[in-house]
Amino acid sequence: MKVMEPQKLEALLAQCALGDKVAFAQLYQTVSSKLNGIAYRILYNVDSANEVLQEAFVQIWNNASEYRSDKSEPLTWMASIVRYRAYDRIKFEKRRIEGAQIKADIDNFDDIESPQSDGVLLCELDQQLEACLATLETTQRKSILMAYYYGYSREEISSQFDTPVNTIKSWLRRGIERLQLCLGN
Amino acid sequence: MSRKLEQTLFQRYASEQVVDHLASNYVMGLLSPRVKRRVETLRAEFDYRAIDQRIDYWENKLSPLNDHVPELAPLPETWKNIQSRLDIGQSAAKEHSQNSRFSWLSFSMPQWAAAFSVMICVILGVNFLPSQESLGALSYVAVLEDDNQTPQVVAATYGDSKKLVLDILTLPDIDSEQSFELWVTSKTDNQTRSLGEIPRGVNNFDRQLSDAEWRLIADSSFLVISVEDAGGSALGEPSDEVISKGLCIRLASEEAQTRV
Repeated sequence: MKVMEPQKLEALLAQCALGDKVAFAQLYQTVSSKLNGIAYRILYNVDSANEVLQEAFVQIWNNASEYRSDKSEPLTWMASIVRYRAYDRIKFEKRRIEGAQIKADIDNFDDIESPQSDGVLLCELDQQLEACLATLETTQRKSILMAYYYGYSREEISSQFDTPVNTIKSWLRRGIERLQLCLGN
Repeated sequence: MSRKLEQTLFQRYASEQVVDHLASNYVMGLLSPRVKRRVETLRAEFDYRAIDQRIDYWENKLSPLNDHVPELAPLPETWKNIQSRLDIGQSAAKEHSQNSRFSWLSFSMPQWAAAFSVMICVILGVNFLPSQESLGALSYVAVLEDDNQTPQVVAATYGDSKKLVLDILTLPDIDSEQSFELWVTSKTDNQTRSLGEIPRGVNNFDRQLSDAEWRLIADSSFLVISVEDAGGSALGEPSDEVISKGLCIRLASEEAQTRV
């Protein structure tokens, strides 16, 4: 994985805001694979992920001057642009009709969700977030990760758990409240 | 909007619970398109900046979840499409036709002030080169970096003159019996071929490329520098000691297209 130093990314964004095309190309080189991975994780389709990446980079170029380093790190800002576009895209495409896609998603999801699993991600996450996620009930934690990580809607989560949508809403709400309490303000 | 409705809305979005629910669900992509649009409108308004602040909060708190998402290289056409959308390649070519000098020299002072150190080094390096006007259009550039992402050499080529220009920012010390060799890796067959040794003790260096070498550049995915015995690699391939690597970016061409 490339090392993406926030200061370097900030400098590149600042240059993009000034219309520096070379800096934009460098920024693309540095973060496009990461951002494409985030889009792909949500969309599970290479072409759709690349289209989202394309739209996101157009937005990054046009809005580079709006980036504020006191509010977030550059990669967080750019990843948010990608995620929101990916979320919009799956709503538009009404995706995940095919069982194979869902299964593949869930297989990956199990890796992420389980702190005890061998491979994996949660153990390497930000310690505070990891600790706070671990305090949630399993259904709350899974629901939050399915939404954020894979872009599942409430209805899709409901279908996965074979549970009414209102129950899912309740899990999400309580999970978020507990997470917030743990993470602090 | 009537004043009464405005007040009702303001009271509703003054509730921390409502704001946090909207912000967290926005970040998790759970809002309906209609509510999402509403939130996006409100977060831009000063009176409802609490929503914007809470969205930032949740984005920052949940962002570590992205840290270990596997990277996936984008399709080659994605960059071309972006450039086409933003008209970058064409504008670069236009700038060049209007000013035969190196186009970065047309930057304003504030741009220079904000410029990233690598690019300053590039510009300073290129400025020292003789007769830039004869070099023609800047066509490819690669910033070669070591494992710590420290830029070491900036390589640039010029389409009209087929010249290769190297700006040497920093290179490690090597024995007197050793030398640095520049290599180009083909996008088509993934083979790595030599572009010759890099002279020692110079800050910049340029040389004419042959037609064959120019084709290698045009087909390159990235450039690398290796440490070899003096005289260059006897095997025709880089040693295990590759010290620097960088993607080759096409900046402009007759077709005004660019690729990474």
